[in-house]
Amino acid sequence: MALRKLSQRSRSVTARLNPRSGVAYEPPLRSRPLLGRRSVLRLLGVAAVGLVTGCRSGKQRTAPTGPAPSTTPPSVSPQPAPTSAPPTAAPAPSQTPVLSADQLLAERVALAEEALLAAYNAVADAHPELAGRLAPFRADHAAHLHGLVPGATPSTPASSSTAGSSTPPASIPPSGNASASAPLSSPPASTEILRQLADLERSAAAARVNDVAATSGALARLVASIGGCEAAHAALLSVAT
Amino acid sequence: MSDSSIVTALLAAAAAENAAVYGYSVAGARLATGRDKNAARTAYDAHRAQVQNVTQWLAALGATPAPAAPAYRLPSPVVDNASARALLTAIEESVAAAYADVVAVASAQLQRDAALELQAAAVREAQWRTTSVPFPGLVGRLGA
Repeated sequence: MALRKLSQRSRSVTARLNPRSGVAYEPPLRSRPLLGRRSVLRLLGVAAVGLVTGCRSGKQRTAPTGPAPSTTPPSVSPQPAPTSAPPTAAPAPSQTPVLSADQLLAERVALAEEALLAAYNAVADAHPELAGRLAPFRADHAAHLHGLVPGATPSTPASSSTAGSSTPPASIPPSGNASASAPLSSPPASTEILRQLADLERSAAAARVNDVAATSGALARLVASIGGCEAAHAALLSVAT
Repeated sequence: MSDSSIVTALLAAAAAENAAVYGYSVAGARLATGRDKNAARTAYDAHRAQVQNVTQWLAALGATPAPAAPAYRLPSPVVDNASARALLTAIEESVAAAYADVVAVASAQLQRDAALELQAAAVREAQWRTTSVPFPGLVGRLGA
């Protein structure tokens, strides 16, 4: 289904973002652990759309000298440098469109934050009753994005995020036939959603530990702190279920 | 990074862990619920274990942390559940900050371990605070 296509697209996006390290960057979060699950899966399909678009806009932000990032945004990949010669040939950092390793890392983590934001947006759209409760979590990720890519605006102000969803946002099938007797507290669907968000946060936190290894100094501190926040989110969401 | 900057960061982490052990011993008894007391006991054990770990990391670099002080001055008196939670929140934030500094200067396994310890502290901090902060370990250091 569409999801598979999406994840392929985003995979190639991440490949572009991570051109030289042989390490395949884990495609942020959404697809791997979630494929095969039903309800929230569709929501996160929407999140994947957010991921792809978010990624584009992210690139626009960080590659100021690059050409216009239309469908093929070559700005990030150090294309003119298929050989390893250019380091000496590229003197002035201000002139080269090649991003530094730190910029690449920041961009990569920003992408993951966009994906998380998209997941929260999708949940809030489909389950307005959870929106208020999840708002602080979403706000944290927006702050992360900001910290990583100053001037970035979350690509998706709440509901407009799901523009791509010509398919209506998945209506969660009421599991069991218990009619919605308990109003907000713990309908099974929300429990399941919170649990899956907790999973997303947990794998994000784990990914940040790996991300940290690629850098040092202030960026390492920032990324590690973001991972701390994500671990805390996972814990808080787990308590909430 | 130089060994000396790593040693400096680890010495600070050891001090933060020692202070945390003390803080939990003070605040634990003031917590209201059995569940919180259990959580505090677990956290106390975790901080004690980290004192040992950090001491070993330092030993590998030929350094020794200062011994724990018999008592620490608390930022505010602990008189009830709320002030106990406030103290534990502040303690975890300072532990997270110490590990953030280690992450900034260390590499390889030590850097990973420090990042994981930052996460553990952030989780405990959020539990005492009952909410999250966007940048645990950087509170007060970052504009955001």
